[in-house]
Amino acid sequence: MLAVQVSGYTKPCVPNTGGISRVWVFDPADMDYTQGASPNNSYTAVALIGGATILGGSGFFAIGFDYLSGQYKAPQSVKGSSIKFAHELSLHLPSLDNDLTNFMLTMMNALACASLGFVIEQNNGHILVIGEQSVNGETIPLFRIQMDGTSVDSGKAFDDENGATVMFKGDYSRPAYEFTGGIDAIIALQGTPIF
Amino acid sequence: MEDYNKLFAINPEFQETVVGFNKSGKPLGTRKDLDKLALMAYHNKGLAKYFVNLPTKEQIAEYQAQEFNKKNPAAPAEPVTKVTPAAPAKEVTPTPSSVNTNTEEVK
Repeated sequence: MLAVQVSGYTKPCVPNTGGISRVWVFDPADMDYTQGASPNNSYTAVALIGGATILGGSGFFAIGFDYLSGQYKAPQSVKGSSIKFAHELSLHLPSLDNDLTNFMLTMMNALACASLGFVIEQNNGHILVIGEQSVNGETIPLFRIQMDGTSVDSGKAFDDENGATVMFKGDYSRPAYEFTGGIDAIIALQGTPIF
Repeated sequence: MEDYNKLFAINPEFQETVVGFNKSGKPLGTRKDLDKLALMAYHNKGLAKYFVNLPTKEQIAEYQAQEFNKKNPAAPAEPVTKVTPAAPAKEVTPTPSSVNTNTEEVK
């Protein structure tokens, strides 16, 4: 306490599971998250920023991936007193076709001058947010997530995987915050697919 | 208690607006949990614009307390019975006969 305020960790006394259930991608410029209304600093609400509308192309867009193929991880490293979490989301998307190409093209649009945000619903029910830009109406330091390391593979045999393992990566100064407003809150703000 | 619809009135232009919170994404005009959003508006000033008048924290706390009491009614009170006050106890002065002189060890 004299040098640094630390705290313990209380293990939840509920069964836990691994893996990702569902994933949504969003334009970080569209969404504002509310933080601080709960004691644990989670995000409790999300709303479209003024000017962003569902009809105008904003919202959360579901990414359909092969069952149990999704993984999110964020290894931490430190140099001196500087901390980095290397956020990484990988999903296997089936079927090499033009829809998949178009999806990857839209993800590439963010490479040049924008970024991507993701809502990750885990199999244990907890929802994580990465790549967000606006919290409590204020712009936070850039949390840039981009498609990086994606691999397209046709497979060889009939029962080989065919599709793309898409990868999204981005470094940031902390782990992901949880969204505790519930998955229905995300679903209600789903955008209209463009394809 | 002030009426819920009056206390947490939503501006007409935001009746159909969706803010995802409290495990729901219904339009604000249909929500019955706007007390939670009003509290959040004290952390995120951008949420205050949805309300005609943002209630004070005290008003929100009073509303939530009343809602809690509605959902958790107190147990019915016991029937009141008349209690006759007891006569004041007399001070007892120890006498030699009242002093335990038994020095045998209790087993």
